[in-house]
Amino acid sequence: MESLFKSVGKGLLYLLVLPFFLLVISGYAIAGLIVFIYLFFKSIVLFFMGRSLDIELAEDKKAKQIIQKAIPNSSNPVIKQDGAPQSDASENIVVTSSKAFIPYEEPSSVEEACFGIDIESEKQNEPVKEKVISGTLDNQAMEEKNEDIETNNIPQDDIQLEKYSPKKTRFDDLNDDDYDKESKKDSGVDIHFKDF
Amino acid sequence: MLPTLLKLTESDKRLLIAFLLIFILVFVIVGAIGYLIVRVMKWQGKRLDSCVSDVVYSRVITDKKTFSKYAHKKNWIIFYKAARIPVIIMLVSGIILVVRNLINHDFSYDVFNNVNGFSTVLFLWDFSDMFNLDPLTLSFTFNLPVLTHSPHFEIEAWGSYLFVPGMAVGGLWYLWCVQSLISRTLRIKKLSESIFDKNLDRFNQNEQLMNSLNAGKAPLNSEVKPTEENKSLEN
Repeated sequence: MESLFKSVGKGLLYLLVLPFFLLVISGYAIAGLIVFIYLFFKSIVLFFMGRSLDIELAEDKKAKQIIQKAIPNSSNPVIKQDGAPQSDASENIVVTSSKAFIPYEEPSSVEEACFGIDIESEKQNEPVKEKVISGTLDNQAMEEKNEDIETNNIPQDDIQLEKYSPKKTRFDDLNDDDYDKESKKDSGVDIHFKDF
Repeated sequence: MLPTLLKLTESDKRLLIAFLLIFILVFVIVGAIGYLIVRVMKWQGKRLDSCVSDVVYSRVITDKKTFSKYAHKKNWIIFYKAARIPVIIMLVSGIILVVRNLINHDFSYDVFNNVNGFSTVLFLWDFSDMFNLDPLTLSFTFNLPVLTHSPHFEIEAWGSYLFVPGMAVGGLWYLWCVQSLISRTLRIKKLSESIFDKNLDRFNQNEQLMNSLNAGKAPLNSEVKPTEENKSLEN
């Protein structure tokens, strides 16, 4: 019943507005006809000048150029972290190789603290997490692992500590020439954030 | 008013209720048509977005005035491109009528007459004796309209057969384009206000500051569910 009254009210309102709407539409129709004639002659002039009345304006061409330039760089887009907290150099999180101790309950990075736990990085951290919880990864085990690394002749540069800045986005990483080399290595924890 | 209504017979009251229902039904139908027009205009306006989105995304245009100027310019070009076909149809129809008049040397030709005009293919009724109200006896009589003309083709009316449908189709198509133009104009007005709007309604500087200070403590975008462990810690 309420909807019926609403419909009746709307009908009454539209009937009252109808003359004004018709007035506006007829005004626009006349204006449209004038503009149509103007654009028609303009297109004829442009035709003889070797051009055409194109819907693509100068602004569109400029925008197209900008977008074309941006496409190769934005294959993996990362949202700009405008709302991310500013961090000092001392607060940078030090991420070590796969043997690193990563706390279970504490967030591993400021990004994780701000934007939540990344599922993929979480998956990568799982084996480490288990070791930490079970307590099997003691100092002795760490020494044994270090010996394994030495015996496998892995260069010491590869297991050096990587310093990761929370301000660094994946977009920056993609521009970095060393990124591909670093990503190919099996050692190290990949803490790139893929989902934001 | 009330005594007058009480004097009415049962059939008069029924007639009054029937008229009231028809009145309501007319308003409901008008309301539905109006609602449909509003929805169609919104849909037509939305089509502008795909034309102007690139310059906004790429930040080629960064202020309201420039955007409005650019969008209106584009709007008129879109209208010109869309209105070409209906205008051509109307022009051709007009030329056909002029040619017919030139051939017959008859420039006082009524395209809607029922002898050699478009009305030859229409049903025509005489509505003059439909309602009869006798002022002396106050008697009201209702008669069905009388059919005066049945549709048939006339060779002489060929000009009107081409002119009237052509103008009707072209005119309605042109009005559709004009309606799109109005819809886009309204959309431009709305977008120019919303795109460059600096709204501080939902901004709280203190909240932002507190969030940045507590960044390492807890995730901002995740709600902490009260578990039993947490409750015990709180206690």
